[in-house]
Amino acid sequence: MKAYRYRAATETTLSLFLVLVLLGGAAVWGVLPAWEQWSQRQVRSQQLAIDINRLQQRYDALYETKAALENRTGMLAERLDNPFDETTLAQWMRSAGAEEPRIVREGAGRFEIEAVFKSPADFFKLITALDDAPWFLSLEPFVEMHAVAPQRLKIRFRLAVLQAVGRTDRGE
Amino acid sequence: MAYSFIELRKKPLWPKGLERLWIGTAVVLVLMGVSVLFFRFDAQTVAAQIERRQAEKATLAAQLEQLRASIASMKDVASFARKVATGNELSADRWGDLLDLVPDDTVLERFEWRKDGFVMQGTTSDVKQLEQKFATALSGRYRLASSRASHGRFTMTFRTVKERS
Repeated sequence: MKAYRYRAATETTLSLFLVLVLLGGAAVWGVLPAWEQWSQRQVRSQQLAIDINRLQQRYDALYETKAALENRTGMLAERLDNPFDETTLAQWMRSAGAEEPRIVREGAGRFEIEAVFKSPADFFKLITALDDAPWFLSLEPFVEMHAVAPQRLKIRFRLAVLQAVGRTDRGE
Repeated sequence: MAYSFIELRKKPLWPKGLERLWIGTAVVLVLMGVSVLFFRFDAQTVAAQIERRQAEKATLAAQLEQLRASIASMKDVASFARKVATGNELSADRWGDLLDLVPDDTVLERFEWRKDGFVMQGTTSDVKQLEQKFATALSGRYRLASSRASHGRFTMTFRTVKERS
C-alpha cells in the first residue's frame, strides 16, 4: 500500500511537470511567435489605413481648393497658352475702341501699335481692357499722343505679349 | 478449496485525476495548434492587405503631390496676372496723372511719355503759370529740363528724377 501511494505521488508530479513543459513549450515556440507576427501585421495594416484616410482627407480638401482656383484662374491659364497672332490682336484692339490699329513687331513678343482714339479716356479704357485680352499684354513705358483732328488722337504705344515658357508667337 | 467472491480489482495505470489532466492538456494543445494555424493564415491575408494598402498610399501620395504642383502653378499664374494688371494700371496712372494736371485753358497737341520723362506741346494762355503748376505738382518725381514758348505755343520737356541709391 505504501509503495502504491509512493508510485501515485511520483506519477502525479511527473505528469504535472510534463503538462507544464508541453503547454509552456507549445506557447513559447508555437503560439506566441505566430501571434506576435499576426499582431504586428495587424498594427501595420491599421496604421496604413489611418495614413490612407488622412491622405484622402487632405487630397479631398486640396481638390476643393484646386476646383475653386480653377474657376478663378482657368481663363488665365488659357491666356498664357493662347497662340498669338497680330491679326487677332488688331481685331481685339478694334473691339476695345481703337480705330485703324497698325501693329509693328519690335522684337520677340514686343510690338509697337499706332491707333486712333477719340480721347485719352478711350485709350485708358483700352489699357483697362488689357486684363480681358486673350493674352497677357503688358504696357511698356512708351506712349506718344498727337492730336490729328478734333476728337482724333493718334496714339503710339508699346505692348509686350507674355506667354508660357516654350511657346512662341506665330510669325516669330 | 477456498473460494473468494471478491473480484480482485486491478490498480488503474493512471489515477482518474491524472487522466483528466492529460485529456485537458491534449484539448489545450489542439486549440493551440488551431490558433497557430489561424494566426499564420490570417497573417498571410494581412500581409496581402498591407501590400495593397502600401500601393494605395503611394498612389495617393503621388496624386497629392501632383495636385499640390497644379495648385502652385495656378497660384503662380494668378499672381502673374495680378502683377501684369497692376503694372498696366500703374503705367496708365502715371501718364493719366500727368494729363489730369493740364488746365482747361491749355490745348495739348502732342504728349510723349517715356521711362525717362515726358514732353508736352500745345497752346496755353499762360506758359509761366503752366510751368509753375507742373514743376510744383511733380516736384521730386520730374524736373523741368527745357521749355520753349512763343505766342502761346509751348514745348516742355520734363525728366524723371533719379532716385539716389
